[in-house]
Amino acid sequence: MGDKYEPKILALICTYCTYTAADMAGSMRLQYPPNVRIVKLLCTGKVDVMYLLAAFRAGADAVMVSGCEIGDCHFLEGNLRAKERVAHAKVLLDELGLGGDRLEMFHIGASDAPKWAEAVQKMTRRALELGPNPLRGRAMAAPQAASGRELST
Amino acid sequence: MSKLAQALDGGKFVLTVELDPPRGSDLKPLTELTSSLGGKADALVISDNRGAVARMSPVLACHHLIKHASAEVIMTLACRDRNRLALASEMLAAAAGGVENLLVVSGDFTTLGDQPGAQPVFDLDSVQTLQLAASLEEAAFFLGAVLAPDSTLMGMQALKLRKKVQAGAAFFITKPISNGEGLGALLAQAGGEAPRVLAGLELGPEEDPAWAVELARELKAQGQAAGVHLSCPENQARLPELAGQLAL
Amino acid sequence: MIVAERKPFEEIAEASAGFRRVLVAGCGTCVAVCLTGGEKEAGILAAQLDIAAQLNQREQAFEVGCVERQCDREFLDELAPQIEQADAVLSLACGAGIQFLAEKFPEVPVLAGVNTTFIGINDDVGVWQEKCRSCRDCVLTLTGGICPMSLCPKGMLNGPCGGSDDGKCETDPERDCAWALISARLERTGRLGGLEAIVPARDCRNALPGKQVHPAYERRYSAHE
Repeated sequence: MGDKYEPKILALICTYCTYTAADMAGSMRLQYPPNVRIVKLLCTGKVDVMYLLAAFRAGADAVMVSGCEIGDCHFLEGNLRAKERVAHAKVLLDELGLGGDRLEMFHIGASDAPKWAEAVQKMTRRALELGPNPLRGRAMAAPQAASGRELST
Repeated sequence: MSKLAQALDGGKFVLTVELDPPRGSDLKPLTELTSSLGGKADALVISDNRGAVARMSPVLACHHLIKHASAEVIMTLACRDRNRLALASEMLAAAAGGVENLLVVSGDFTTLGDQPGAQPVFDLDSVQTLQLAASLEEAAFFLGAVLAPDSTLMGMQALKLRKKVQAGAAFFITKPISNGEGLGALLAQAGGEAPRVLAGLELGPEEDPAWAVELARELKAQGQAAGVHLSCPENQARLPELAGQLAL
Repeated sequence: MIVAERKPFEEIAEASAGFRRVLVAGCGTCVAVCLTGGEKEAGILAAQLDIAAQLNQREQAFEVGCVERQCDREFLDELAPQIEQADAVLSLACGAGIQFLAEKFPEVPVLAGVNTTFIGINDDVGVWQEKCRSCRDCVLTLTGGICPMSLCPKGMLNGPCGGSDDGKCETDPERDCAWALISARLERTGRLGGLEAIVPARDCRNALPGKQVHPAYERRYSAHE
């Protein structure tokens, strides 16, 4: 790891809306920080609290979940469920001392590329403010603390 | 037979007044208040940890008032704080000290008081406690219970009234009322022989008692109640003056 | 079903801080249904504890295990290999499960991860309501299938107390008066008359620890066999 802190942000985003927006942001040559690593899910309804905790365990400095705008979910209410799970995971992160601020939910429609760029900028700024996840680096070196089963959902 | 029972039997329109035992161990203020009530009240109802706030035991307070102020007392006994052993034990202690009238109440729930984490006992309910009191051969109490005339559960309150009479209640004191309608309806619904009821009249610390005096006259004139029960929980020092106006 | 809630994280973290290898043991029956102590919740808690341990520079490892029922001898045995490797077991089962686990594995420290709250029903997604106090003297036939022992804070058996107000309880204006419910239900079914007789004081010998043997097994467990 170099001296300069470059946040690593995991983005769990849905196929139908936010991924399309992110794709369009590329086509439009919109500039946003390169700190985000995107994982495309069919729907944010697939987001599980365990995924979120696993990301932080693996050293992510911040995690963003982004689904369709409220009322526009391709699967009707997947984004609403994601919203509740993210809110719950924030409480869990507060409890354990890492802080729920490292996690955020967004709702970005398919045509809203600028909103995606803004969201990434916002989370990057926040990750810079919060500093590195103390588990960074450690996580890789640590023994397989819990068995492989912890990812089962 | 207690003086209260005699007064009711004699057809007197009775006045009872509610007093709390002290929150400390000094009985002087209560004794003085009793003296200044003089003969205005036919009996004093001594409360039992009213509002689920701990005070001196009504057993001792009653004994003291009987001995030092020659008072006619009605000792309140709440189901909230004692199991059936302790209830029987308090009844025997009360009787030994000359208490002849007993008012059985469920008791305000523990979470409403100053020790909200206390164990709520309610080993017996008020009906079962009346049965217990009636079963004690060593203590022949004149037994009283509470009525809730303005309840929306009129049928259930009428049922409870019948059960209390069956369990041995010889007189009733109502929860505070502001008119006689609910009481009339409750007694009509309960059926059977009309029990002797003292209508509860509660006054605020500064409240003008005119309405209560008016209501008491009305209840007396119409024969709806056998008397009234006066309380002024926030300002008991007013009771002698109020009792003067309500003694009809 | 038995309902339980997870203990505060801080309390769990503190209780487990002194152990190097901790098995977080879920239970797949009641506490799984109430989203408190099933395999999934055990996994989440283990992940939380692992992150917290790393943040606090504690060398700890958290393993996840789960059996169908910790209150059942056969299922509990399945945890044996994992417990052998653990310095402590953090059980997310109800109080019964935690105790049976402790009894069956006498050598390993057992930590409680949940507070058992009540016997209740699943009213809606994520909502449970208490319904039964297991008093061993059921009055539901009399009271129209609504329990005054559990739903009336005073456990009144002979009708409502004077604190019943507009169908609500004196302890909380949001709480239904159990006797208002009972009254409405019995009226609808034409069974109010059953309440006329005085219900006698209940038998509190149920405060003694309970044990029951099915009649068909009485011979097997009798002293003479």
